Amino acid sequence: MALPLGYSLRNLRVRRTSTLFTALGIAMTVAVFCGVFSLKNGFEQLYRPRGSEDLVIYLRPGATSEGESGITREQANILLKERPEILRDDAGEPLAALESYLAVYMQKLDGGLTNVPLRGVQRRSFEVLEPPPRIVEGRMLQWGADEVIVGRPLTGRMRGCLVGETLTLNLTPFRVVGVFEAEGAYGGEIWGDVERMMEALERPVFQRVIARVDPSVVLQLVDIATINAARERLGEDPLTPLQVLDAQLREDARTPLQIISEREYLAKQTTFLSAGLAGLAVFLTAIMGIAAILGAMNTMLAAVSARTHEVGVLKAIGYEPGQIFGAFLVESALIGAVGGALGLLIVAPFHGVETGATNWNTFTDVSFSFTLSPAIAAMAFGIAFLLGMVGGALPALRAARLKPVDALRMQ
Amino acid sequence: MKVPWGLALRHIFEHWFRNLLTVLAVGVAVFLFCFLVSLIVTLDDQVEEASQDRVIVQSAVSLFVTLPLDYLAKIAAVPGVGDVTKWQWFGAYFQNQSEGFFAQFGVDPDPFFRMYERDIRIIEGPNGETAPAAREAVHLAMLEEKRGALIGQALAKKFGWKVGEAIPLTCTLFPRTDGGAWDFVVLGIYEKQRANVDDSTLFFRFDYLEDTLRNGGATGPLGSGTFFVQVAPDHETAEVIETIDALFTNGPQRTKTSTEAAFQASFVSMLGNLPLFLGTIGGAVVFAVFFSVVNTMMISGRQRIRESGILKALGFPNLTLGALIVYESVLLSSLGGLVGIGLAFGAARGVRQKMANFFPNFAVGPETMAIGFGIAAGIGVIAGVTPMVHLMRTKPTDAMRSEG
Amino acid sequence: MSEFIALRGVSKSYQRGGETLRVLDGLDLDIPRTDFVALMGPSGSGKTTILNVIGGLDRPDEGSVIVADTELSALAASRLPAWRARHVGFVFQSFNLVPVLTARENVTLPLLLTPLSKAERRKQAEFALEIVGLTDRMDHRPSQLSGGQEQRVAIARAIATDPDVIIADEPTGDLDRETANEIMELLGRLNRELEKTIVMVTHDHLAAESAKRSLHLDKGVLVESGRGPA
Repeated sequence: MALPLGYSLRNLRVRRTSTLFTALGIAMTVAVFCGVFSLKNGFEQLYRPRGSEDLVIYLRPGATSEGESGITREQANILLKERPEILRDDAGEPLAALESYLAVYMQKLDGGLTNVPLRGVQRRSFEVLEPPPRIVEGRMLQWGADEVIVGRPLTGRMRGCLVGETLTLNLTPFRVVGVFEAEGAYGGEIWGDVERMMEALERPVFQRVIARVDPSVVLQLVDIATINAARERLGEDPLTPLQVLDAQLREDARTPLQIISEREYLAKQTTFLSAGLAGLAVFLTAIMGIAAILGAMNTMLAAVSARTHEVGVLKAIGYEPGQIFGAFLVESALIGAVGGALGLLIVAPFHGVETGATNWNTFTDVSFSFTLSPAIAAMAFGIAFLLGMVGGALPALRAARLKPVDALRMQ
Repeated sequence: MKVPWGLALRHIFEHWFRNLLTVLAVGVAVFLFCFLVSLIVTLDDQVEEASQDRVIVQSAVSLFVTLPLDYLAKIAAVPGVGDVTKWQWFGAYFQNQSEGFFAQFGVDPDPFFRMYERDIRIIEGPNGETAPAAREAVHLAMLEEKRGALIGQALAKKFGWKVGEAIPLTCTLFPRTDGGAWDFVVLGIYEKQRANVDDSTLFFRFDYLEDTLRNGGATGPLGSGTFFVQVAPDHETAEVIETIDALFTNGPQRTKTSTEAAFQASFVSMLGNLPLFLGTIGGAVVFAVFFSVVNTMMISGRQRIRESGILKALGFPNLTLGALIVYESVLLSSLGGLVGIGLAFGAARGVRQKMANFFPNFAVGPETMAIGFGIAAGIGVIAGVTPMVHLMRTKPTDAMRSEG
Repeated sequence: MSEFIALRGVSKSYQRGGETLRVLDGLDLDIPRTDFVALMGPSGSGKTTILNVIGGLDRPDEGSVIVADTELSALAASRLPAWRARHVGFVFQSFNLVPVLTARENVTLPLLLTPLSKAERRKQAEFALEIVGLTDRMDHRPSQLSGGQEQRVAIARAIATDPDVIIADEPTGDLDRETANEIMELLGRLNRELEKTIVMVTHDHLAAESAKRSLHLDKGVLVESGRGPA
């Protein structure tokens, strides 16, 4: 017969101060783990792959982000007119938008300077994006006017972002007329008419063309099946139609550009900050976990030494070492569980709190919120449980190994 | 009256394993604390060591907008302006975009060497010269070789680059039209003298970039992201800043001029809440370990009840018993403090080597160590006081009846 | 001359589970210098309370306690420890040695409270251990000693400071017959040769016979029940 769970529970209750303090140590570890991973999660939500594969971005070859890219008006016009993959509406107009992008200096409300993405857009931008950005306050910007709309999180984090305020870009004042909400990183940007932006900033090139495409048109021109069969023989991965288009376009002397699906582009924008946060979380959790294990081990060692006599009695009446081991291990695992629950309680209020950080890939400010996911919570709870168990294993072993005769002699 | 201090030591050794755990726990906390604080301090140091009589002119609109090159002559004409150099971010990498990424700036060699005379020391020149002769040699060599580059010693160490070696860098900001890499030749190696410079930067000739862009060898914005300006000794920095910015209020590009210190500070502020974030975590760790030590000392105190009853019966005053347990606690936590400081010291070396891109000047300062040690000792005092109060309150007759 | 130990009208009550237990009720007790008294009586009769009151570990609710010319009830609580250190030696049923210290260190413990130098403390501790016959076990820890040896270390500790009174609470309670006899013989010798005044609580009639006289305590009232070998 195993020792009942009640035995372990009773012991925890008797030593409740010790239990609580040890659990708090574990709770802090779990809280830090959850906090950092929630940040990472919130940040990654911005760049979560979404939308359909047929939304693509044209950039200058070699550019890893919009900020580095540059497309001349001439190239853009050729692109819109001639590329067969770009879809067209009923009137025969291309479903594509020319956009500019520049990270501009903004004053943070809590002091300090940061770089906020300023995007010059066209009417089409609102049509190709899925789901389209929605105006939640004020009104839509007027095309051709010196007006901008700002992403909702910015209104609470940056100066001059409220409806009615004015943002001066170099020499031209732009009026904030509306606040919008959009999926992902777009939600933390400032949008204006691309032509007005380019003139105000004296930057005569676009940064990207975003378009809805049908990559399969390439199949009519190129025999992909044969190419891929050849590649397979060489042990290379087969090409997608989009990759074939990309290779073609790069070689095009008039429009040497690259095509990348938005999905893939977004995935590439998170590496530095994500990796940094993941590294930080692992580092801190490991260090704090060590401290928490030491604490749990200490408590359990004390529990064992205080109950040596009791263990002697249990052994004398016939309990096996394995059962004693189990009882003490259950006890420390319970401490871990209490710690895990406390830790989650500590971080829960932070869920949804908005913050910002510099995305090192683009060196721009991004707005996001702590996003505590069930997966993170489950992982944290698992870690807490594990910390308790690891800390309790050695003391439990010590208890299991006590010789009943010696144990009984102890006061 | 004598206090049997030896008793405290006996107890520490009696439960050596448990106490070792306590020492390690405090050690870990102090380590993490020192480490995180040092990160913040390092960032601040870069700001504090920056020069007050050197000002930086950049676009008022964006970090990513370059200023027209003809601004240089206009700035140089401002009264009180000494040397001026272009200073353009190149953003290239060696072989691998994440591992091989480091800072490169295109500068004008003459003013650069004059302005940074005290900030960097050139330790290796093209013909095996060492400091101080290397400075002149590298300066002259840079004027001769258009592709010449001056690199920091940490960079030389990381990639194993030697003077005279040609290094190919891939640049996404200024891609070459032939699709290839940019070639540079290492002419000298420098060692930073102040925290405003780091040992992981490559300086090259701006005109190499400019000429390549002009003759179509590469594409990208032609201009300089910033101009570094030395304010002449007998002029007010603030006045010079004002004059320069006034010069361009009506465009074509408005400028934002700031001291080097303020410029560095703006980069720190772009880290956003990072310092606050790190501070919070440091606090959480100290707090967590504090609980753990209080817990241990309470356990120690509980095991000491009977003994203190005996001592009280023998006639030792309450204060002696209190002092003993606090002494034990402070001894343990201080030891942990020393362990933590040792760990942080060791880790600082690692950070300087592995994370040279982000924290090239990372070091654990004496103040940080002192605070870390103080926190450890403080944890010890508070952790000892809890059981002390309990022990002092217990009546000897009850205490001796207690088990354990 | 007044008695060496004099209790007058001593009363003491305890709160146990909401009930007030009156353990001593107006007790009078006189013990002359160099006496060796065995206090006997059933559990809860107040024996240990009397010992604690005489030893300055506990204070009565009412009445006066004079020990070695000191009116204990007039002494501030904070001065009791110093008084105990100078005048009283304790011997307990469960020995109450500090487990982490050796025999010699345990005996030295009370000497730290005296103005003696280190060398003098050492000499005195060794002398006390010599009296109890443990010169060869001085550097052993309590866990390495037998029960009888532990109790002898405790007795050495009680006499180390050369106190006037030795308080012994069931000193043979945890020992076998033979060892108990040895301990009682030792206490008798301390009383005869070193002229220590000893007040002992015991359940053991044989042990009580070693004392000069036995007092029987029942419900807080004393009855002299006989004299041992004078």
